[in-house]
Amino acid sequence: MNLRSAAITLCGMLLAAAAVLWLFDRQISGTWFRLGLQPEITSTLEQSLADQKSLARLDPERRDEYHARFETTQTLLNHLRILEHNRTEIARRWEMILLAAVAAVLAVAGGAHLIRQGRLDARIERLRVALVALSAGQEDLTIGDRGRDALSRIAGMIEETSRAMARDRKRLAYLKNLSGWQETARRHAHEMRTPLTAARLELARLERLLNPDDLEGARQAAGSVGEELERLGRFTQQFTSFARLPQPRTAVHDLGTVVEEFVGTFASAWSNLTLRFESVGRPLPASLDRDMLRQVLVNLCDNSSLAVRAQGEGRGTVTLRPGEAGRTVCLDVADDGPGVPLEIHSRIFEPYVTTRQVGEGMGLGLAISRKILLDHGGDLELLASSGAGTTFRLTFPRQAAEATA
Amino acid sequence: MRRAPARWALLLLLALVARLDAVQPPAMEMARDGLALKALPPILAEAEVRKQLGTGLTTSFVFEITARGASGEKTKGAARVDVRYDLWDEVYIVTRFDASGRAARTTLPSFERLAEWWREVRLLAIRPPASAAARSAVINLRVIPFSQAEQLDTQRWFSQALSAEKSGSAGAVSDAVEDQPESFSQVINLLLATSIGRTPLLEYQWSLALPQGRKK
Repeated sequence: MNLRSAAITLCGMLLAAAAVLWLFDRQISGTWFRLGLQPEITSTLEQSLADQKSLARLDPERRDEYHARFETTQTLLNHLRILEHNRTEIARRWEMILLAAVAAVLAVAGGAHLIRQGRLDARIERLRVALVALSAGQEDLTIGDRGRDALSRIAGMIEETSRAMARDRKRLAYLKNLSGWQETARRHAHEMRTPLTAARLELARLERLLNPDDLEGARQAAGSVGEELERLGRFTQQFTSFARLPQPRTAVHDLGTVVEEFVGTFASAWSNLTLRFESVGRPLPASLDRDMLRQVLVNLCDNSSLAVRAQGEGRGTVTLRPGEAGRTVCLDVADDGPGVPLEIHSRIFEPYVTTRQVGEGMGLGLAISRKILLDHGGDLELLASSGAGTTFRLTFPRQAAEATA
Repeated sequence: MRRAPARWALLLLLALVARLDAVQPPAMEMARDGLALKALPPILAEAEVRKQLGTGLTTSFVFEITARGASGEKTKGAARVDVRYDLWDEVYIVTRFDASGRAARTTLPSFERLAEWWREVRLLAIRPPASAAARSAVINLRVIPFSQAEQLDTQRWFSQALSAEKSGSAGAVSDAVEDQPESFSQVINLLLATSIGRTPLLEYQWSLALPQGRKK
């Protein structure tokens, strides 16, 4: 606690209290006291006594009445004389009462001030400790100051900053990993594309040199080899796509409108899925690349469709629900499929992580999707997953409404 | 150093003046019925006392005697004279209380008769056997300007006035002096009302050697 400021405050309070005390005593209570005991009142009452006696002598028939008045006046006069005799003591007692009252008020105010100051100091100390932890790189700090004043707001900002730092670190680590995977994919693609091209050329030359007696069988075998090579070519194309993801060309769009258009266009794209759009009922301006967002949504719906198919012949529903989350605009994509196995929740966005059978996919879709969202300045998260379905959340930076394209 | 004699002379003069100005002490009489005060000091003529006697309030003259024996043992006694001037009838009502245990009331028609009574009255202070051993005495006289009843009456009136209650319903109003305080303001009233005390108007003290072997 700042003792100097506390001492100054205390002195100020004491001076103010002394001034109020003096003013009240001299100008208010003292005035009434002087007024009540001024000598003119006593002399007037004495004169009244003499008058009552004179009246009694002059009007003997009403003697009792005058006598009664005389007694009343004399009693009042006696009271005033006794008060006058005790004037100093009464004034002193009154000053003591005022002083005690002021002292009590000051004590209560001072005590309350000290308690408040102590609590304030403790809160400031917690903030200081949190700032030290933040500067040391500690993530996800919880200060627990849930008031409405400036200190609570500062505590909230420190907590928010620590959470933002944690998010940024995770993104950075993810992007570093992803960059490594992308380089690997690029090398794989390059290494595979060269022999693939050579094999195709050799296969074509082989066709031309085949025996004319069994041309049809040889053509079928060569066609089959060619199909396999094509499949291998598409496979390497995925590596290429992952390795050479373009930067998004963003513009401000109403997220709801974009999603609604997607649902309209792709309503029948998956035979076992029903797409459902839930409007939030107000514009949600976000900075995004429509084509890349469509790519992400197609990927998510592909995954849902495959997951539903893996369950059997039934149909599934994918619900697209735009909304707001804190300072961001978000889109929740929820399906009612079998859910993501718990053991891969933490790794689901890593490349080559997949639940599908070998040959059904490389496990790059979600990695590509998250990279796209991160390049937008947002993120892709697995919000929830259970046997009743899976929900992914796409977040975008919020934009001012008037800038909507 | 040259001025020292002059300084001593001045102090001596002041002491002499003070001695002349001092009120004459009462006389003490060792009698069969005990140690008594008589020839009371002529304080009735003092301006403050004379003025107070004319107010109609009961002026109390309280004598407190502390007697010491030859071996230093202490014996205490007291006597009191209450004087109230009845403003309607213009008479002095004098009540005497002393160690005899009786209260004697007298009505005197004038201040002169009162002064005369005052000079002649005899107040028994200490009864035998305690009085027999007394060799010296310290006499305190306090002139109290009003009685305890008048003090209580004024306290009650003051408390009611502070409470801003109607005097016409005095029989029904709560008496802050006697009742339990029910609120903070009543406590304040009580504190203020009890500041009305019976501080003496004048106080005197004399030390006397007591006469021996003259028992009547």
